[in-house]
Parts: sequence; structure tokens; C-alpha cells
Amino acid sequence: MSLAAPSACDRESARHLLQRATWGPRSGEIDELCRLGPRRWIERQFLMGLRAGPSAPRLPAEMERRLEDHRSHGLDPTRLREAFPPGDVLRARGGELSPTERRLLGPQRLQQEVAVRRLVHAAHAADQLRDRLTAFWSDHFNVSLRKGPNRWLVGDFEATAIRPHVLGSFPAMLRAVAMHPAMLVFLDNVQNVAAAPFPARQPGTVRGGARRTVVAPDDPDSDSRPRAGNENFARELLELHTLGLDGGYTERDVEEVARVFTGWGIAQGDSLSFAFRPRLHDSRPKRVLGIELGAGRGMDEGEEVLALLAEHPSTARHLAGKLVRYFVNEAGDGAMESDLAATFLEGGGDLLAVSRALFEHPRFGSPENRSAVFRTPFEYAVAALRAVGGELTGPGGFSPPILTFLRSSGSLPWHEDSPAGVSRGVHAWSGGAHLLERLAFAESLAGGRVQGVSLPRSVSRRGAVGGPFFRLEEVLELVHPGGVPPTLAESLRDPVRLVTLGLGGPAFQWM
Amino acid sequence: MPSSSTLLSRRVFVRSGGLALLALGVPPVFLPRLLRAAPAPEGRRRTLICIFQRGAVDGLNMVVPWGEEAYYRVRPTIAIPAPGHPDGALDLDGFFGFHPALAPLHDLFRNRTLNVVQAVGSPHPTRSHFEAQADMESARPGTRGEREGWLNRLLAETAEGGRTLEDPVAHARDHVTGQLGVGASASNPVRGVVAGSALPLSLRGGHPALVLGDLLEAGAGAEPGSLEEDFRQLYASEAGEVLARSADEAFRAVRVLRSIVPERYRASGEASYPDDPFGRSLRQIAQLVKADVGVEVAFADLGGWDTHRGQGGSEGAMAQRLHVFARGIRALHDDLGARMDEVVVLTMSEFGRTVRENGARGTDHGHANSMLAIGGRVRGGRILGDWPGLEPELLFRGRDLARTTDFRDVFAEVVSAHLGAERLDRIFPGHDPDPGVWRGVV
Repeated sequence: MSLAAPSACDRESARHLLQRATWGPRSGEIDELCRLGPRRWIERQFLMGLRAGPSAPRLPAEMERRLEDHRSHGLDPTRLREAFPPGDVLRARGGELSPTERRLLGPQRLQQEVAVRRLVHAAHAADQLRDRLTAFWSDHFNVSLRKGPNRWLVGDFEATAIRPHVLGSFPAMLRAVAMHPAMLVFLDNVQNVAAAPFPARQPGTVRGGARRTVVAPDDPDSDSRPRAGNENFARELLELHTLGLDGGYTERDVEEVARVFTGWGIAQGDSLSFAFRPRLHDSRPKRVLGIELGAGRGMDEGEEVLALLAEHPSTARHLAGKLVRYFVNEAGDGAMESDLAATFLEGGGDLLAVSRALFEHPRFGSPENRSAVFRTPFEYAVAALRAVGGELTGPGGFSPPILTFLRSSGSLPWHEDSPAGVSRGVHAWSGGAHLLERLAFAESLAGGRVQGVSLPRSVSRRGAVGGPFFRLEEVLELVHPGGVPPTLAESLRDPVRLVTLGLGGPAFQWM
Repeated sequence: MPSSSTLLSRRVFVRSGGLALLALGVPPVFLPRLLRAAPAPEGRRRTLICIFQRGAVDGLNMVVPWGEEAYYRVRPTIAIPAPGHPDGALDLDGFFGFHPALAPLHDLFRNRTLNVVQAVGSPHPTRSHFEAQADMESARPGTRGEREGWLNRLLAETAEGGRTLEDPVAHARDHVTGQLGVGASASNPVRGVVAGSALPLSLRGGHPALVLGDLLEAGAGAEPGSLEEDFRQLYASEAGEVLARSADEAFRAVRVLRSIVPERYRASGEASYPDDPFGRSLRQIAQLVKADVGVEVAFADLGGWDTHRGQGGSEGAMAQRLHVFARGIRALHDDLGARMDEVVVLTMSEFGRTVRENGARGTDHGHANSMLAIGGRVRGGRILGDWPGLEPELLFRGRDLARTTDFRDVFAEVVSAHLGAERLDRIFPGHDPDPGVWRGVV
């Protein structure tokens, strides 16, 4: 799309930009973008993101109020753990709790609230662009709430380590992520400590049949005993978070980086906060990517490695590729990727500059990049909701059918267990059964039958509220982007059916 | 359904056919497959039903080593008494016994349609549930972020015509005549099915797999002008290749499932499924298998095994889960009847639990575990695999049952011998198939 002030608005290009820079256009937003022109629209989004509070998006007042119904609302991780106690505490109190209380206190309730919060943010944030960027970076640094204490931590992770930095600096984000307990738990760095202080017992006599030597004392509580280093975080830091698989590091580098981050973990006691524990740190000298880090420098070694990785040319290439596949074309766009990598390096990881370069790139709206990103289930559900003017008006913003839809495709926010984040691309999400679920979802949504979602309703002259009301011309532009196919001529008289076919049809699965 | 005597004679025929080939000098390494991977009768497929005991079942209380003194020493409150004692184990071979809650499966062991494989584990001994589940379900232990399940690779590699589209002309003809693909063609939408609501990693990947969910209760047929028909046309005319093909599979699956009249597949007389999600899952699977729609791989989950505290012994929390597990499998077995000749049920769990009970009368995450294989043609009634022993110096990392069989070797043997899968190197990348270490599971 050319960013020169358009004389006549190119509505197709406007829609394209809205699909990528927001969670999906709503009725009237194409007009708004046309009025402002793309460049001013984008700058307004950036400005809104920079001015909104660093930890949460800007929501309409009534949505804010609904989120206050969450028992987890406004609680830091430590207080969350008090409000939603661990399983053993709950079980110990089992007898005195009613089933309702158990449900409200249980981990599932918290997990749902955390997932719903992200759904509400996506559907209703005013600073849409920053929220999408937040989702991108949260996925890049994916952590699952299903591991250890993470259900108390992932909300804080996004609010403190990700969102404040998506229009700021990548080095700062990387440092915040590496120091966040959610990541250190998820990638086992809490177990990454210098080799055990006591020598392993000598192997006992091994009798026939056994194929193993004994490597640790017979200690039923050995899970709490410091284990030798754990490479998980180090490996993903290099492979997924920064340099990328072909980023030019060796297995030796992984081992060395693992030793660098020994002792980065969680404070002892109840605080669930980051702590560097010098006694667990491996103080011997280390060498990473050919650079000598010296010995005994404690936490500074990790800081130095993070800074080194954050501005490495391989990191720039890796991140530029991911951004382009996410926001522009799932098959990639070589020219854009090298331009974005260059912008990243020039700015020392300035993410505002990189985002601007992305959306203002001359190739952003080129024909081959149109309809070139297949929507994930989450992106699909939110875009559909926004296209029909749906609002999450259930208590707490809960919509059980949407949660079921997301759960059945394994796409509940914060429930992805792979450190590589949510799968993307048409091959990941076009499976037959899943497609049928999208059709069923489309039918319920357009019919106004999704619990917890309110659609604009028709109102009769006597004031009786009727079925869903669509300002058809506008909605059809969003759900049948290429125009209504001639095969659907029969359906033209039935707006609900027409919208159903649009939301469930092939064109809307792409953005 | 052919009588069992037909099946028997066919089996005999295949056996002698295999022997004839041996006489002609076919390398013996292929023998098991030639002997036993006979094609099922026309219109039918061999079926593998996998049951995942998600959450790590305590194999030592499921298949109890009551002949080991150490077992009773380290499990003072949760051990299952030896056979003959009150609430004692059900003896299998004079050394091992089933937990008493597995009584429904004890008959199957005794009539030789059930095998136990002991001390099965992963070469990447993580104690994280999700990592170990991913390891087992991808059958690529130690590789992180796997997105492709071993059962999906199995479906892709055993599809007739490989991963390509079937003949488009025949495809179109099927559409016109309403013929439904029954067979191993990649376009048969029900080759791989999951009873439940989510697709487990085991079946994720490039080959279609169907999550049954509520599809069996899918609504009335598609009339011209119906929403379904409109969608079908939209996808046929407006979607790109990948999406059009997927949508076509989906609509065909709906038609296949709709063609099954549930009343006709009421469970056989003796089968009594437990009235819970697991029972319903297995009943769905049995319906599909009996409907001859070409199910080759079916998958069901049963959770509730993570017994860190208050595990119980012959009675209690774990006993209740085992009872659901055993009743469900027994009902499936009885429901399928003679059809069990074409079925293998394989149970698995991500890892075993600590040998010693912990301070909360439970067990923590351990290592090797037991698997069960059940089928009409299984040479059953055996305890397979080397038993590493429970004395302290024999334990893995000083606390867990050691592994003597790689779980991939059990998988590989089952899919080779039962389903006739050939490209084991592609189904189990990075793991050389070596029939020499197979245990004779099926």
C-alpha cells in the first residue's frame, strides 16, 4: 500500500492493514482509516500504545468493570497464590469447602481467568496494535501456565516483561524475560545450578538384569536436592529467543550459556520473585560465542550474554523473519526480512522503529502479501467477534462457548506447552475436524447464539428486541472480502445466513 | 460379520503362506510381518486402539511384583498384598500379579489375549509430565517442541498412495455417487480418530485425524440449499488447494459418521461400559470399528494417575481409577467380540512412579513403567521384558524402576506386526528399527 495521502481511499488496502495491525476490523473502521490515511492511523496507534499504561491495554470502561469481577483481578503473583491456593493446601482444606468454593478456589478457575483476560484484551483494547504486538512477543517468549507455579505468574509475565517493551527496546525485553520467574520455571532454569556440592556415592554392586549404575544416593526427596546444570533455558534462549537455529552457535556455547545462568532462579520463601543465588552459581571461567567472560563475575556474566545476544546480527535476522511470517506472509518475504533486520541492528533493537518499518514497508501491502496469513483459532475467533460487532458482555467477560472452541483446538491462551509457541500456518490449522468447528462457531456467532457475546439486535417499532441486526453492507465487506460469491445468491435475502457463510467461508480464514 | 471359523481358516492360510515364503528364502527378519500382518477381510481394516494413562500411572501397583521382598520393604502402607491374602494381588505368573481392581482384565490374561510388558521407558528420562508426554506421543524423546505425533506419521506412511491426493476422477465420482472412501486412502477421513474433544499430540500432523467430540451426534442430513451444502460449495469453488482438500475431508467424515445409525451399534449383550467419559469414549470407538468405516488408529485418554499423596493400596484413589480403566477395556473387548481378532489395544503412560512411597502415602515421578497389549490374535498370557529388580542398587538414579525396553520398540513392533507398517524409520525417526529387540508383544 502506498502511504502517500490517498486521494480516493483504497478500501481493500485499508482492510489489509487493519487485519494485520489489529485483531480484525470492526464495522466503521475502514472508513476511519480512510479518513485519516494509513500513516496517520498507524502513528495514532503507536501513540495510543505509548500513552496507555505500560502493563495493560486501554479498555472501554464497562469492559474494565467486567474484568474486576475476576477473583484474580489486580493481584500480584504472591497474592494470587493466596487467593488460588496450591492443590495440597486445597486438598487439606477439602472437607470444609463446598463444591462451589472448591471450583472458585481451584487452579482451573484461575487458568480460565487468565485466558479470558487475553481474549478480552484482544477483542476490546483500544490500542489494538500494541496488543497484537504483545501477543506476538508473548508467543515468541512462550511460557505455559501448566508448569509448576506458572498459573500465578504468566499474567505478571506479560504485564511486566512483555507489554511495556513492545514499542520499546528488545534488549530490555529480553532482560526482563530472562529475569522473570515464569520463564525460569518454564524452561527449568530454577534447577540450573552449579554441580552438586556433595560427591555422588560410589556405584553399588550391580546385579544381573540391571543396566544402570547408581548415580545418586537413594533419596526419596532427591527432587529437592540441587541437581547439576539444566540446559533447557540456555538452549531455547539461543535457539528460539535470539540467534535462531542456524544462528551460528555450537553445542559448546549452549553448555557455556547454561553455566552462565546457573543461580538465576526464584527467591527462597514465598515471594515468587526473581533472585540471583550466588551460592548456586558456577563461578568458573566461561566462553560464549568466542568471547571470554572471565570468572566469578556472578550475575554480570548473564547480563553481558543477554546484551550480546540481543543485538547480534543473527538475532536481527531471526526476529525479522518471525515478524514477517506473523504479520505479513506466512511464507516469508525475503526483501522485507532483510530491511527489518537492518532496521533492528541500526536501532540497537528499537522495536518501535522495527514495527514502523514493518507496517510502512512498500512491500507490506503488495499483492502477494494479501490474504497470506492463515488465522490461528484464537485470531479467527477474535476477528469473527469483531467483524459482527460482538461484545463480551458475560460476567467477567467469560464466554464458555469461545473457551470450548479454543480448548478443543488446543489454543487456549497461555496453555501452549511448546517453548516455540503456538503453531501457525494453513497446514497447522486447516485439519478437517477443526474446520468443522470453525463452521459451527460461525453459525452460532452469526445467529447470536454464543453465550457471553452480545450482538447488535434489531429492535421493533414497539421496542421488542429481535434477532441479530447487521448493517449488512459493512459487515459483508468484512466477512466476504472478495464480494459475495455468486453461488450464494440464494442466501442474499437472509442476512444471518450470509454472515454465517462469510465467517465460516474460506476467505475469512485468511487475513 | 463373518463367523469366527472363517477368520480361523484365513489365519491358518496366512500362516502357511508365510511359511511357504520362508522356504523360498525370504529373509527371516521379515517373517513376523509376513506371518501376521495379513490384510483384514474386504472392507475392514486392522485397528490399533491406544489408551493413554495421562499423568503417570504407578505401574508397580498396577502390575504388582509381589515376588519381590523389596517391594514390601519400601511401600509400607500402599503395597498390594500377595495373592491369597485379603485384598491381595491377582496372580499372573507366580511373581507378578494384577491389582485387584484389574479383575476384569485378569480373565483376559488367563485366556491369553493380554500381554504385559514390564520396565518400558524412555531413553530421555525427564520427570516433567508434559515433556515426557511429548516425548512419548511424538516418539522422538529428547526433541523439544515436537508438533507431529507418531500415530500421525503412522497414518501418513501407511496411506495407500502415500501422502498424495487420490485419483481426482475417482474422487469426483465418489462425490457424485455418494460412495464413501473405506480404506487406507489418505482421503478416508476416519482412519485416525480421537474419542474426546481435543487432538492429542500423538495424532497431530499432516495426515487428517478426526476428533470425534460430538460428531457422532451430528445433525440431520444435508439437503440441497442447506448450510452444509452451501459451505461445501464455497470451499470447493473458492478455497485454495490445502483448504479445499481439508474441507472435503471434513464433509466426507460427517457423512461417514452420519451413515452410522447409533441404534444398530448398541453394545453387545455382555459389554457394560463404565458410565463416565472414558466408558463413553471406548463405546464410540467400538461403534466406529464395528461400523466398518475404516478406522485404523483410535485414541482415548484416561487421567487421574498423578498420585503424589493418598494413593491408597488395594482400595482407594488409584484403585478407583484402575477399576474404571479395567472395566472400560473389558467392555470394549466384550463389545467387539470376534472383532477383537482385528484389534490391538495398547496402553501407555508417560513414565512410572518412584519405587519407594513418599511421606504422603503416595509416589512421585519415576521412570520405567508397564504397558498392556490386548487383542484377539495376541499370543497372550505372558509377562514380557527383562525385570530389572527393585533392590536399591538396581534402581535408576537410585529411586526408579530401570528401563529395559525402549517404548519405541513396543510401538514399532505393534505397528509392524499388527498394522503391517513398513517404513518404521520414518515413523520413528532417529530410532533404527531392530526387530531383534522386540519382545513379542502381539
